[in-house]
Amino acid sequence: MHFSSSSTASPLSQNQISNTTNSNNNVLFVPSNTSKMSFIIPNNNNNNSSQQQIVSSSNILSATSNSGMTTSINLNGINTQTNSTSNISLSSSGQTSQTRSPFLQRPATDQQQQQQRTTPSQSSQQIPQEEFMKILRVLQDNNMTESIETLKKEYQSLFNKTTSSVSEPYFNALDGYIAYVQEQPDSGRHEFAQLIYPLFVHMYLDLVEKDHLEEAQRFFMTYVKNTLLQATVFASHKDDLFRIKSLVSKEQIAQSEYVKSFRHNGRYWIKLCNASLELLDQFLIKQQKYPLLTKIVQAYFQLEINDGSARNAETQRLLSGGRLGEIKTEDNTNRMYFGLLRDHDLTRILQHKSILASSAGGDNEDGAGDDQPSTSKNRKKLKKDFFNQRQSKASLKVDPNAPQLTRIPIPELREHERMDLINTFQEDYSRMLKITPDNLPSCCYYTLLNGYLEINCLEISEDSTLLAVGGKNSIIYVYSLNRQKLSTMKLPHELERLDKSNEHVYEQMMTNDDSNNNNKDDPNNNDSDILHNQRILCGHTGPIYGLSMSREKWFLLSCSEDCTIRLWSLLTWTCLITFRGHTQPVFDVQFGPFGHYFASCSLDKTARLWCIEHAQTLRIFTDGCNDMEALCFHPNSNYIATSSADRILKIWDLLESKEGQQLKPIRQMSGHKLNVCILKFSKDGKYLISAGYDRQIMIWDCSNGSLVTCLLGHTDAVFSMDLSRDGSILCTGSVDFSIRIWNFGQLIKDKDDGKLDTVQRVTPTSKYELVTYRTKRTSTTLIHFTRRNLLLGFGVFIPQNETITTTTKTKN
Amino acid sequence: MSVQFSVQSIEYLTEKLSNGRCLCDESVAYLTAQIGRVIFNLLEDSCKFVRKCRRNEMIANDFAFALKLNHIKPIYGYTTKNIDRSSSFRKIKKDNRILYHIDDNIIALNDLITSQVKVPFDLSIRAHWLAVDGQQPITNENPIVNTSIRSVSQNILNKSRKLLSTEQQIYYKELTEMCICLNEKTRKQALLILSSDNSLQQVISRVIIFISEGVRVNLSPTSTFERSIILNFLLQMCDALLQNDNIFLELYLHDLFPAILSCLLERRISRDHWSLRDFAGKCCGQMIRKFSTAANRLQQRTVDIFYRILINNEEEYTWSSQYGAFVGLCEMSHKVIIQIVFPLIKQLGEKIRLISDRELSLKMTEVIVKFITIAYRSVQNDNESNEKKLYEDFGSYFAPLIQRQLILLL
Repeated sequence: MHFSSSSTASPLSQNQISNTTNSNNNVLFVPSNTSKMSFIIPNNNNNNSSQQQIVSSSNILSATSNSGMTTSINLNGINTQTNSTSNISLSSSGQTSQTRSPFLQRPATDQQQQQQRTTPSQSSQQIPQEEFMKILRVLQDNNMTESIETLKKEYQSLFNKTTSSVSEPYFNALDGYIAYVQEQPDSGRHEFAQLIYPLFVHMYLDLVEKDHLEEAQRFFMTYVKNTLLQATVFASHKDDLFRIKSLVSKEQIAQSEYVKSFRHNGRYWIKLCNASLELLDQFLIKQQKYPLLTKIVQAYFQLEINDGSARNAETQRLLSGGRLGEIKTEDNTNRMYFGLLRDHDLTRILQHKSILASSAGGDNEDGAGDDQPSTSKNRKKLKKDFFNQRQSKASLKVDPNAPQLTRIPIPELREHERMDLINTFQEDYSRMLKITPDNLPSCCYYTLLNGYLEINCLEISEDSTLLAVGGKNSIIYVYSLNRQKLSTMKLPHELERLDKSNEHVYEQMMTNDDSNNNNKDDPNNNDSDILHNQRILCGHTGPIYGLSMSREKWFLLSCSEDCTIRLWSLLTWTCLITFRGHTQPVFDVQFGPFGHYFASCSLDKTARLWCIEHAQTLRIFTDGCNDMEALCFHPNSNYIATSSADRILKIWDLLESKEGQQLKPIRQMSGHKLNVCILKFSKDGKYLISAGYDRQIMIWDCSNGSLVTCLLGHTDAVFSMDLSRDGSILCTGSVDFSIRIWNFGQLIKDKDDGKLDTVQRVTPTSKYELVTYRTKRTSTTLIHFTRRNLLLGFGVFIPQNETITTTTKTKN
Repeated sequence: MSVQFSVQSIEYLTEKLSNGRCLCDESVAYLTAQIGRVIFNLLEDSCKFVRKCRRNEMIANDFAFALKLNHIKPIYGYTTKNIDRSSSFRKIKKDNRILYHIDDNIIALNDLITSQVKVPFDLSIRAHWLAVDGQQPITNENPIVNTSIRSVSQNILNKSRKLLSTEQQIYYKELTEMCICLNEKTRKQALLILSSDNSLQQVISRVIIFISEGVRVNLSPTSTFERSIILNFLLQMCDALLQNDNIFLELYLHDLFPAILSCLLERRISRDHWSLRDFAGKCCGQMIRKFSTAANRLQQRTVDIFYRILINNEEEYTWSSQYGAFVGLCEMSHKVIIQIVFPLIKQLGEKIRLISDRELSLKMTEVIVKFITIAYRSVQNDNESNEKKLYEDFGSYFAPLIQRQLILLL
């Protein structure tokens, strides 16, 4: 139809490509001199040779519209012509549908191509609808009923014939490209195959936009049913294919969020090696066999040259899956300060912890019988360190990757808080279990009964004593797990009377256990029941979707379907602030590691940074057209990681960017094939671990955003994850009723030593998995390591009689 | 594929909503497509909530929130109940059209008040040890360690040889003592444990040996104890074990099955031995239903034993054994009765006629009539009992008895 149009475009683009490649630019920008609009509706306003024919035919029509008689004659003349030509096109389409095997033979397509080229008049005979209506109006004005009838009939037949051939170039082009991919040698075939999926989607959308629904559906089914493509190209995009299939009209495409994020949120990013790119350039630009392909590639694609040889097929498969292909390498080059804030007291305490652990672990490995004295020695040393902070500061190496302490202002710990922390951590830490393959962790499991479909989220305090449960009924329940009473702070006038110099002033601030409200449910309650000590926090007006407890157990944050975030005090058991700002249900909220700041993400496609002292948002991170579903704070409180509906993980810098510039993620990572449920940074802040519905546990290097490896093993979605306190063990909980424990420390060590032979590839289960614990019918939604490295699992019991089929039933 | 509604149903709805005025075909078609799209988008939105709540199942609330997300007023009143989820939608088929609807019966207030409404349980939390030092203890809360090919390691083989821990020894001792004590209440408790506890797997081999040895000792001619009671208790243990779905009995069938058969077919007569045989027959039938496969041919082999006893003419087996064999056969299934027992009845009737002991012959007749009638009724659906056929099938002794029984059952 418009083959000639691209021939005018090609020399220009070739020149530009050669220019860019000559200038040694790593990123190749394929220019598009034809705008998107002209491509989508190709019949109008094209400055090419075929257009002239259209113009001429419309000239005839408009010229003859003065007198009805001549019009009809003219039309008849054209129509007889079309009848003969359309016969050819019909037979050709019949032929193609017969010969359309998964991969067409080259010669066959060429023939068709020629056939179509031999009938150039075909495109000229498409009478635009406006013209047709104009003629009709003229005829009606002149009361020529017979002519109206014949015109309508002819137009109908003409129209139908043209539709049958509209999809042909699409079929030909995609078949041709697939055949081209098949011709490539095995080593590089996957590189070319990357283009098939986006080409397919764009073609389908084009067909639908041109109102050829049946053709579009035939197109869709032909390729999706193709088993070879299913296994390779479409495997990473199953989720989106389902969405694409549901788009069956122009309006739907215009309104679809998916199309917005696929077409208008940027270009589809493809990484190729140099050799493949040259071949592709040859095929698409120089040969110009399928101008349609060239057009789509020019309009919507961006190709990036990878240095060196082609990537491994497995690596490429792992990294695919993002809605817009892969991530621009340039986007991940900015400096990220992933080191820990060693100058901050809290980090220092945690760091000393790990120093102690490594020395204790060393002693154990030496097999020396005298661990006891060594740990106590260490403890003494620790205490000394804390009192002489200057010395300890000098003893620590300066981490070049660590951000300045003042980069993001963080409040210092209060004196009493610091002392408390040092005491508790020392006690807990000296008794911490060092998890090794021979010394596996024990796991205490809390099963929540009668809560299926009622409980949405769980959260546990850092010291593993408080459990918060967010329900569908907008209520937050808080339980004490260690039988300690959940006491309330005294009223202000009572607090005033207290002696502030008293050593036990903190205990005195709390009401006594024996007094008033706790009494009534005491006597008849079983001591073994955790529930006898619960608090209820009411305030939200929609289901609770996320909870977060501050480190010192004073505050609880909750986010809900009612678009608000609430800050609760766990001392007075009341709501302190309601944070408004999100315009859609808030899906996740998390306190920063130092408290004070917290972040939230929502269905309004933003993530926000807040501070508990202000009711207004500090930062808004927007993500085009994709819902934000989960987030996680970096341990140095300078970054947050979010996962969004386009299956790309993003790390955002909390530091304010320059004026007027949109906040862009500092790191982006594509590779998940389905939505991500949980994100966690490693304890040293260098790695990001993500897992979700696609069962892949992916480990990313924050320094450059590259994939370290992917752990497979779970047979269903992974919902929960935690790292042991010394950061060496990763634990994941899944809906397949199992908890798996991975030797994360060993993996990282192997990777640093270069011994990991599955870099950027799938690591088999057996290599780093230590053990699997199975639960009966409880999918673990929260996993937590206590300070002594005891594993706590939490999950809601799923009653037996429920069937998953009900979901599918409603879907269909 | 995406959501699709039939044009007819949309047409019907538009007619209903606009008081009988029809829309033109084009509008209806357009409307149908639009509605399909809207519903699809809403479902996709509700999937977001399902995902966030870490569920696999969509409930009505999710859809309500999706409506809210799109600024549409949620539809209230459709709550997904845990209890009757499966029966919430009913299907009506008429004129090749299928309609789903929700049962919305009017409930009389009196019924509601008088009926015992189940109060939904409150949330409760239960803690247990999922794993201790890398091992998952075998308790009720933990799943059975699945013996898949990968995990059948030497570990498990070693474990079976390992001595029981002190706790397990005490558990075994207490349990077996409880099972044969004369206190009805404690015995019931013990049987309940046997039928539900899955930590039994560790001691199950001992329990089976306890049963089989108990049966052997108590059946031996030298035993002086009041044996039928003990035997009855032991059979009750078997019965309880069979009800326990969490333990694997397959490995111990070679001990358990002979014990039950011995109770069923023993020669000698003791007090109340009829009920013992009845019970043993029930256990036997249950076991065969549970464990018989084409591979182990358990049913085939058992049927062979019973059949041999029943057709034997040379007074090798006592009548009580034959009674047991008959009960054992009949407890298996109706199919066995019809195929194997029916042809024997005529012959049995002639033999029973010759028994001199009145109690024995009565008992035999009673049990045969009982089983045969039930089976006969299941085959012969029509109520008119063909007298001639009855006589042909079952001979002159049983035919009138069965006929009378059939009439009684009507």
